[in-house]
Order: sequence, then C-alpha cells, then structure tokens
Amino acid sequence: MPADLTVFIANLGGPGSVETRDWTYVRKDGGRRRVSLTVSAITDSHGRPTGYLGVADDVTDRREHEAAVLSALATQHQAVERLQKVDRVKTDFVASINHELRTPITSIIGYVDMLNDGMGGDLAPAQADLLKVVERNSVRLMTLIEDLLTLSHIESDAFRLTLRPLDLRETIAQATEALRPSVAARALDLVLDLPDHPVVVQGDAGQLERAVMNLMTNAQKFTREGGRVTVRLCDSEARGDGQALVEVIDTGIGIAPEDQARLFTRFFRSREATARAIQGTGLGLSIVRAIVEEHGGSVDVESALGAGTTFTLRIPLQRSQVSERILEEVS
Amino acid sequence: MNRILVVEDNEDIRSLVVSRVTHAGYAVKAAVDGAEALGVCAADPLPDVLVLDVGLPDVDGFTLLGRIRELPGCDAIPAIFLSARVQEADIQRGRELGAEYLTKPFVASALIRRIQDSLAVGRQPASW
Repeated sequence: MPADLTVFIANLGGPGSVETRDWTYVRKDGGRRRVSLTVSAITDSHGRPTGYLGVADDVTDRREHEAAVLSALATQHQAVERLQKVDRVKTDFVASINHELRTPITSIIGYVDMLNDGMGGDLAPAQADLLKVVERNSVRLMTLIEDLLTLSHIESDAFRLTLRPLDLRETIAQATEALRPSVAARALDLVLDLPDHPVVVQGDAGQLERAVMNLMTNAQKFTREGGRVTVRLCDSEARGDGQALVEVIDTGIGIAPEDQARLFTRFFRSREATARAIQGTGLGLSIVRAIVEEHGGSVDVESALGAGTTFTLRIPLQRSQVSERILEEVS
Repeated sequence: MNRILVVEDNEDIRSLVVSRVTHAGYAVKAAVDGAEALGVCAADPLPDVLVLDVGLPDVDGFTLLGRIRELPGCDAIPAIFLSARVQEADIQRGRELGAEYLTKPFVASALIRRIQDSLAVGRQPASW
C-alpha cells in the first residue's frame, strides 16, 4: 500500500466516516488512469475499526472531459474579456476621432458661413457658387462623422436605450417636422397615414425618431420631384402579433433585387444611388437596423426598380397599464 | 455694451467665435486656457457671459466654470459651453452646472441667441 494511501486511511475519522479522493495509477504499459477511490471505515459494535471498504471507480475519461470543458470555458472567458477590451478601445477611439474631426470641420463650416454672410466682403456670383461646393462637401463630411459616431455608439456594449412608453404618432410627427423643409424643396407630396388612437411602444424617443427620419430622408432622396412619400402607422392588433408597424413608402427609383439583401450592410450603396450620384454615407440603414433591433424589432424592405420602395419597421407594442390608460383616456 | 469672455484654445475657432460675437455687437475678450480665463474673471469689469470650450489644455471647461464661480462677483455669471464633445454625459454635466451646451460645428445665430437669452435671464431681479 502506498505511503500516502496509508495516511489517507489514517485520516479517516470515527464510525461512518467516508473519504473520497482521486488517485493516479500507472499501468504496466505506462498508461495512466485516474481512479476515484472512496474508503469508509468498518467498525465493530464498540466503534473500533475492524477494516476498510474501498470502492474504486475509473474516472479517467470523465476527468478528461471535465478538464476539456473547464479549459474551453476559460478560453471563452478570455475571448469575451478580449472583445470587451476591444469594444472599449473602439469606443474611446471613435470618441476621440470624432472630437479631432469636429474641430477642423467647425472651422471650415464656420468660415464658409462668414464668407456667405458677407463678413469677408461682397461675393461675386462665381465665388458664391464655388463656396457652395465647399459648403456642400463639409456638410457631407459632417454627416458622415455623425453617422459613424451614432452607429459606433449604438453598437457598443455600453449603449443603453432610454426606454419609456411613447406614442409612435409623436415620433413620426417629430421626424416629419424636421424633414418638412427638404420635402417642400423637392415638391414632394408627403402623406401621413396615422391611426386616431395612440400606438404605444416601450422605446427610446430620440433613437426611434432617428430611425424614422433616416427612412424618410432616404425616401425623399430617392424619389423624383413631384413624387409621393407616405408614412403609415398601424398596430397589428387585428393580426394579434402585438407589433407596431411603421411603413415608409415612396414612389421613387426603387432598388434592384440583388441590392436589397445588402442594403443594411455598412457603407453599401446601391447601384442606382451610385449611378445617379445621390449623396449618402451608406450608414443610414445600418443605423436604422441597429436601433430597431435594440428595441426587439426588425426592419424589412420591399422594392421594385422604377416602382418605388417600402421600408417596414416592426416594433413590439407595449401592453402595459400605461398604454391601456392612454388608450382609455382617448376612447 | 455687454462683455463676453470667450475661452477657446484652438486659434481658428477662437478667432471665429470672437468675430461672430463682436459682429453681433458685444465687447469680447478671449482667453486661450483656464489660467488666462481666471485672470480675466479676477479683475473688474467682470464678463457678463462666458463662452467656454470643454477640452482646454490646462483644465476642463466644467472644472473651470466651477473655479470661476468661486471668484468674487462671479457666482451667477451665465455660461455657454461650446464643445466638440457630443456624448450625452458631457452635455448632461454642462446642463447640471446651469449652463447652455452647444456642440461644434455650431450655427453662429444659435450662439448669439443663447448669449442674448443668458443676458435677459441675468437682468431679471434675483428675488421678488
């Protein structure tokens, strides 16, 4: 009997005491087996030990599996930590890049404005035209920075929606208000098809407004002058799936089927958009998707070239006391 | 003529803000960092409104506002932060200090309107 086994047995306490321990046995062929040995003391009626009962169980495979699982868990844990670190570094990087880019753009936009306002003297028409190009491009650059920041912010681990019960009719009204000037400038017919009762979701007002606004901006950008943009809101109570539907429907140039699948990929721009030199960062729809998915919803597109496009947002309805009360107040 | 103190370390933006605020009819002093700003606020005549950058070389704008408000006669000077920091936490912090918060790039007319509003509030009697 090996010396440490003797100690193991000696350590056994009084009657009824049981000890279990793993041992490694080396076989004649040099193979090692892990054995779980349980030893209990057998005593006579006076409690004096008369012998020991040992039960050995070959647990080599089980222990190997356990070690493999532990090692996989440790690796996974390390990977998660590494990803969290990368996410923090990325967030810090984007914040600092955003700050560094904003500073020179503030000067560019600010001084162009001063020239436009005549603070550098009167501008000849040709000079004013040239300045418009600078202005347009600096605004475009600023939009790109804003979009990148928004997307990075929404996708970061630290991002949290500020949720409260809100009426999606309000969200659509706010987005519409912000876009009214550009819709009017393009002589588009803007139709709002909203129910006469509140459609309440648990949502982040600012983020949902951004999502609707991005879709409406696209609709008006890709629709020819004189076309129509419709925003329709309904709660799908009738179908019983508890979702609010926001549809942004345009009569614009449409999206080719092969482009539709890639629309929500960052920086992707459809062939039509590129061919017609319609400006954009290719981030707007990625932002929309990120926002609605954070809300437990989804976004889909239906389109045919030349026949217009419909984007549909689906956001879970809130069926809480708050929304019930709002509904009651209205009815 | 109301006095505006502009604290901004970036030379081009400082000059831009100074031009705009001067053009709107205010007397403007400019400081490049917190130390210079504290110097301006330590002597009469005191500024009527502060326009502060947040990312300054020697101190952040929030801390600077706190220090300025500890100076004699400066405890109620209205302040407007003008910053490239657009995170909600920064905006919140600025507002908690009772200041307006504008992000860069800024619209000149919006800045001038904030200055006018701050002066209007400042002229109201402190108590009834």
